[in-house]
Amino acid sequence: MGKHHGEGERTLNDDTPARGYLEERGFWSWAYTLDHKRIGVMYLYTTLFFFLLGGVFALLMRIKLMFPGEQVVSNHTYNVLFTMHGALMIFLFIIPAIPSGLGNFFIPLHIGARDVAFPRLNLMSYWIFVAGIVVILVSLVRPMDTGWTFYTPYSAKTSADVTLLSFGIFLIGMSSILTGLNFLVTIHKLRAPGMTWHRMPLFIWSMYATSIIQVLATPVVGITFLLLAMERLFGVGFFDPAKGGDPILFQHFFWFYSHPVVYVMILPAMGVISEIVPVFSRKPIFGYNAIAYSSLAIAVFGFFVWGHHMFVSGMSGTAAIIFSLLTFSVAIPTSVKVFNWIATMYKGSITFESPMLYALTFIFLFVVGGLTGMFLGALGADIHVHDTYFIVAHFHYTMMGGTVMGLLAGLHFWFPKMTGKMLSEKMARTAWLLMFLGFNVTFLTQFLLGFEGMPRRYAEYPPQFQALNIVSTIGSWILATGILIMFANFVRGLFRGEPAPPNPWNALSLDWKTGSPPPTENFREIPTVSDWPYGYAGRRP
Amino acid sequence: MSNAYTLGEAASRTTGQVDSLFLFIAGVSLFFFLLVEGLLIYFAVRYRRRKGTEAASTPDIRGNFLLETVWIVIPSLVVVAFFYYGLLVFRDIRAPVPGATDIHVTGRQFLFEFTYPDGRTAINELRVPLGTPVKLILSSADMIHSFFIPAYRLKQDMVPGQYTTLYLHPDKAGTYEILCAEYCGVGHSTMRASLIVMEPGEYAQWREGNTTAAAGSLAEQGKKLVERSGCLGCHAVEGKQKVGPNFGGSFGREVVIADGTTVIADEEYLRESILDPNAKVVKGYPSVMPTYKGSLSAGEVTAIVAYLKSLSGAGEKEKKGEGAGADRGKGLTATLGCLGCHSTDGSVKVGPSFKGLFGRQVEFADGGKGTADDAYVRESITRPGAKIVKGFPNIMPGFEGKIAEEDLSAIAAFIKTLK
Repeated sequence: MGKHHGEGERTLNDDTPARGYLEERGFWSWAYTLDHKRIGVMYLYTTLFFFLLGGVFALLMRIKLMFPGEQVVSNHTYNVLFTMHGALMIFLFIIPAIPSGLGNFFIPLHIGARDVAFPRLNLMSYWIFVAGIVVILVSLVRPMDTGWTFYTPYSAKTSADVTLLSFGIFLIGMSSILTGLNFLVTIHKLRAPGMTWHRMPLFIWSMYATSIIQVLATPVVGITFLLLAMERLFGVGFFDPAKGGDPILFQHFFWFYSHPVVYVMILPAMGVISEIVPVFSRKPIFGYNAIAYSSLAIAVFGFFVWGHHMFVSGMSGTAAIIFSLLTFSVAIPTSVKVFNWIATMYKGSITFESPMLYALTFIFLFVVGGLTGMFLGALGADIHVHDTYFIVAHFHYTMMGGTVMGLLAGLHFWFPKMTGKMLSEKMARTAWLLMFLGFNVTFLTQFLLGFEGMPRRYAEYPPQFQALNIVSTIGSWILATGILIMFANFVRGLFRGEPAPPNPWNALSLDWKTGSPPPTENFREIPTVSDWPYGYAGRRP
Repeated sequence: MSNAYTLGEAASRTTGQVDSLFLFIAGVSLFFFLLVEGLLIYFAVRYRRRKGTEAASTPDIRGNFLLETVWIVIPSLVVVAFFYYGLLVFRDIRAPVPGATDIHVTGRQFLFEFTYPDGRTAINELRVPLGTPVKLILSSADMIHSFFIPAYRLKQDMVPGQYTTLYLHPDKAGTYEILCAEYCGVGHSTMRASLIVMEPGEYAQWREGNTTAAAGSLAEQGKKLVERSGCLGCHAVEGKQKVGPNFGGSFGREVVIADGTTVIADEEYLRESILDPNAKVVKGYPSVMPTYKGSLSAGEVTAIVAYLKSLSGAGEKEKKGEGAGADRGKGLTATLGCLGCHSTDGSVKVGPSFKGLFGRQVEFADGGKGTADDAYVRESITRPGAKIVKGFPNIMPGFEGKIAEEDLSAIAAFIKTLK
């Protein structure tokens, strides 16, 4: 540790020039850092690593699925692959990537603060997250084969190490709760002078809504996993009908968390899109209040729709009808956002640098994900496609086409800010084209497979589904090539990128009013805010 | 086999109902898809800025109350319509049908067991007469399964400790797939059955007599029965083990029963294991197989036994010398997962390689030394922690009580061949 250990004690307004937050080097300067930006970067590295690892699992699954029989890998191995693909992607990548990665980095910058409210708690969240990862990796000795949904009674009886893996997720949930709490307090208490609620960037509104869900919903999944552990270790029969329990109760508990958590995944991405579209359209965001409050509406409605995962589970028909109606209510605030983004482009002066390209791709693919959700909300239609590839395609359009595209838009947008380097536009475009094509080839075919009746989680399948499966697998190779080129661009940018100016996109939010990369405490002086960050009308950069 | 795209009349009235609902939602969604994506692309093209030019001055539009109200109200009406239509179809699918035949269905890892009102049972084959509605009363003996008939567009989970129901309207003769749609373990994707809708006359004939035409030899008939009765969901013929013991080489083998005794797997043992599977479960396997008493006739059991016998090949028992044992041992090392940690070519993975192990002097972690003889190999399989080779981690699971004596011998014989 150097002399700068304990940055918080350094005088703020001394005469030394501001040092970029990346300048201090060495392992301990990262491991012990209280800087929200460094913690954000550590989250990004960690989560992106698991994105790649989860992607490798997906590619292996797709190769196996080119053949209808027990070929390439054994059925058990395939079951492990889809379980690990789901668990890693959801718990170690898509939930933490934008909130804990980009959120940590940009919430204080956006609201004009020097750090989050509780920097030590923030560091603790990260290391609890790492502890969770270690536990999950140890559980691979007897790898999970239950699917990421852990349904009882299978999860209570399988010889795989369900208890250890769910304990790892329990830890990651704890980290998520602490981060959410930290962000809520930060947004309430640390806004710069003049930064009223309605002058906050929309990314902050979506992170606020996200944090509410994280704090309220995550404890439920923690408790659920404890109950499951008690069932496995002590034979308590919460979910065992032979002992008076109910296996469907587990599904209620699980989805009470896991449905709201899909909004933890998508809301931050929507926030990113709300930032990017006005910047590259050079036009004020359309319907600021509608976008801000629709985030809160989605967060609230999201708590009352979990039953739509269970229409055929044996739940009562009345409950199914109520959940179906409530489910459709979420469609309204979601579609409001989409309309607002598109209206923002109206009469704009639009350029298509890579962040905008990814943002528009988000909108395009998310619309498909949203509209195919209409089939799943409607009871009679869901009965047919539930637990088929239709579902797989639908949630990949929302999660990969939506959240991941939002994350990638954000990474391309903020890469200059975070690293002080520019990315290669040429590589970014090539990667984008391959990803867009590959994604649609991979997952559009899966809608057809699902409608024709191919169930998900099938290691072997009836031979009539083979042709479409081969098409889907070929798509996955195109998609993977695009992703590899994108990561190559990131690496190239880090080492050989052009130096980035403080504000390469001529954006107005506070994060662009400090250096690239920002100094350790973000601003030499805390700025005073007098307007919203979307005043692009009539401006010439 | 009929599938979703067979032209002509629908397999069931539910097919038509659900497809109409799909078409309705798809039509309306397509309109909104074209509208939204069309505007997105149109604005992107129409308002693009040319490369190198200055940004144009843009209007300060921050919202439009009327427009925003319209795009809240119209989607709300549309989704209410989707909800209502979905509800109508759902209610109709779930509505009790008077005069339906009750058939009980039990899901098990990894097969469907059907019980007809007259007490007959069948595995993985549901035969119903055309035109008579059927009420399926679904339950599960172990995990949650799901009863899915893609051609009928119907699905219902099968939950242990609970009955769920599903009404079928068999409106067209044919054979349709029944698939398990809720993940239930390693054999989930092989848990499939057939729904056979027969002309009423044909159905009555089938009910009366045994329609199993004497086709082929007894063993060939047995093979067909094995394929049809769900046996292969849990028993592989050869290669990697599934839930139960492999069929290949089972006949004539000496097997260790769960209570420790040994029996020869002769005709009587196989017959008993089909009709009363829990009587003598092979050690190390779960006691999960359902009885086929009632679903297979005496003649059919005979055919299956003949088939299993044919798999072992005549006289193989006699030539069970060391070579044959080693061959079996080789297979076992793959099946039991030994090769995950031990190589057979001398390379070091997690544990010592099998190559050159036998007869070698080894140094143990506690400093002792010994020869890797037959006794050592056996002990290291049953109680691996006892004598760890120096430099290797103590992580191997013990196979004591999990491996039959003869399998142990076979593995030891195999390792011996790698000297």
